[in-house]
Amino acid sequence: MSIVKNMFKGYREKDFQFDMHIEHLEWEDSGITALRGPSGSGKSTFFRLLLGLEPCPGMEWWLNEKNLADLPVAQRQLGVVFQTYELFPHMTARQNILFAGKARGQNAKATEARMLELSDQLEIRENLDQSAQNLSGGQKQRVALIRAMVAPIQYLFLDEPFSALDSDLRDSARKMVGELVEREKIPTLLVTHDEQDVQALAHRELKIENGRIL
Amino acid sequence: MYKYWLWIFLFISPYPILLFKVNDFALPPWSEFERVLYLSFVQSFFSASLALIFGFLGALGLLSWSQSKRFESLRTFITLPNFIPPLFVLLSVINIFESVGSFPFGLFGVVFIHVLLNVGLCAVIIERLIRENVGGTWELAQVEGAGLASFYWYGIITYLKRDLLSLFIFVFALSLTGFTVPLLAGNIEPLSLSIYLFNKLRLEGDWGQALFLALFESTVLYLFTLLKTKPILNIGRPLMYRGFKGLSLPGVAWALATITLILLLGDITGWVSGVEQLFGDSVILPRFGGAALYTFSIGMATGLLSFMSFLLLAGYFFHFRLFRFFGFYNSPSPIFLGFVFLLALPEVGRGIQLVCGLWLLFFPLLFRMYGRAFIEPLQKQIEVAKVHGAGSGLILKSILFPQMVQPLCWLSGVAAFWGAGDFALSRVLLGQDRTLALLVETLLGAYRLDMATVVALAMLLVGAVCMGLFVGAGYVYRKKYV
Repeated sequence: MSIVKNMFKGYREKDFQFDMHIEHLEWEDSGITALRGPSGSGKSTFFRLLLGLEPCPGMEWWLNEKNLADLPVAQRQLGVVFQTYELFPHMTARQNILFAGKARGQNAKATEARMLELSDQLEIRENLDQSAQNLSGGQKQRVALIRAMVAPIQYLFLDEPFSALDSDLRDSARKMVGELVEREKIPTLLVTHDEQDVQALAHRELKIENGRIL
Repeated sequence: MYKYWLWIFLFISPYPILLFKVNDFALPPWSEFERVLYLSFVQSFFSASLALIFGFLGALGLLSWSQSKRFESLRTFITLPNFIPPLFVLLSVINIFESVGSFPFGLFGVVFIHVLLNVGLCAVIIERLIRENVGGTWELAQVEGAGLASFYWYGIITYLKRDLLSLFIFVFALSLTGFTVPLLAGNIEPLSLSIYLFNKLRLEGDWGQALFLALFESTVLYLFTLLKTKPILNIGRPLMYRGFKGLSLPGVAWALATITLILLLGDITGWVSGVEQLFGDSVILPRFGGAALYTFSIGMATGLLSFMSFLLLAGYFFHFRLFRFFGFYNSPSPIFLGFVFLLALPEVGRGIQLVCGLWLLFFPLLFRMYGRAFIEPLQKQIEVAKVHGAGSGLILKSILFPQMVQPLCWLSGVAAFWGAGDFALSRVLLGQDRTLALLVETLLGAYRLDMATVVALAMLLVGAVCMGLFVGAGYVYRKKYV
């Protein structure tokens, strides 16, 4: 089980106020868990707090009997695909992927082998030496996915991964992500506002509104 | 997490340092102070008003250049008087006047040079505001039968009044705290608060009064900041709206470009005789060599410090609150800053003080102008790299450095150029003739205008070499490794 405790976070701005208030939340740590809510509901905050990109004193996130919230971001062994993919634009697709292996201190050969395996599965091998800037939206998404999974991770985070794609590409992209996560058996949190994403992919759904899980 | 506070603290630290010395305060004689306040405010008011009026006309001229991207470099060209050291422009103007008569030293001369320094920048900023905000309303107004004059008033001036007020305050504050121009083009009476402060500090040695004036000057600047409704000098992508036919004044743009060219060339005939005089003067020539070398070192050190600090800021200290802070932060005047260094760090070498002071002066401006454009997009990439397990070293080497090196070298080059051309802070901290700018002052005082012009040209050249080294290094690195 994945258990989150004491996720309390407030933002106060001149004309904006938001409070994340989750005292205790449990969900099964297998398959795809969708976190769905309207914009401004706290999805991104929830996501960023679990990743460790925002400070949240006192918060606990128990996964595999370890409190990940106690660890620095780099040591949590998480993978992430942001909405805009955030590939490093000065690198090729290959360099983007190998960067993640290097960052985790993984053996270069093992990273290379894993990259080729995943790029075959996602049919992107022939684009590996292309500059990240010249890839299409769908190709960028696949490279970002491989980058997130090239080294062993405990949890995969997907932040609205289909919203930047054309509507005719979304179905095939959903299918590809679903199959990949199923095959790799990596527990995944999918943040989305789209009902179709949830229906196509999620094993369970968490609904969030005004910083509270419903 | 709160590391960005270190930066904010660093930039506001000169003020508490002065406040700790509050026991040493002494008030200047009221009659003298009142006169200086009156003259400074009159000087700044006319400098800002005229720069804005002519800048507005210039902006209408520049609108005719919106039709084509070919004019982008000309647009940059007319802002050059504001970019290069004011000492150079001042010398050009004095030279031109002297070749036909005599320069009107005093209030008129100071206002005249301030206007020339700022009019191009004002024109570019106002033109940008019109292009971004007024846009298609001109065509709509024509269809609805509005006249040209009423559109200028209601469609542009009234609509942009908050932005124009901010620009006015910006130029007003620059003129109020200006040092180089009022010192060298003014007369015996102080025409800016900085000159009065400098006189108290350097000529009269009255630190108590200087302390009061430094704090007074800063308070006035911050009161202006409260009035400033919008941050200016945020450079982003301009909107290329082109429907300004009938609204623009094409001739004004060309007039502005011609004036800029004349300012940059000055009195060319004096250059040759200036070189001959310099190489024939056995007293000045050795000083010139030493000053050139020192100027080069100051420029390079300022550039390097800027380079390191931008890199650190992007990689380790970035926070959106810093944007907000720098958006409304006013750098203290160079005289104020020099005073704080003399008070707080008397034991530290003057060269180090100068470089740190120049950095404190230039960094907020460079950050505001270009910081958001290239630092902000990198933050998401840093987050991705961190989540994937990357440490600081790898992020710096693989993500930040390759992407930042070229724009950063440009920014550092600009800081180096300005550092090499500094006059105000050097005048407070250094001895006579230590830098080329200070040597120009000596030559100007001796009325050796041709030689002063050549030394000022050398100062520009040294600054350009410093800038070229940074820009070139950035280009080579990018070409070779990225």
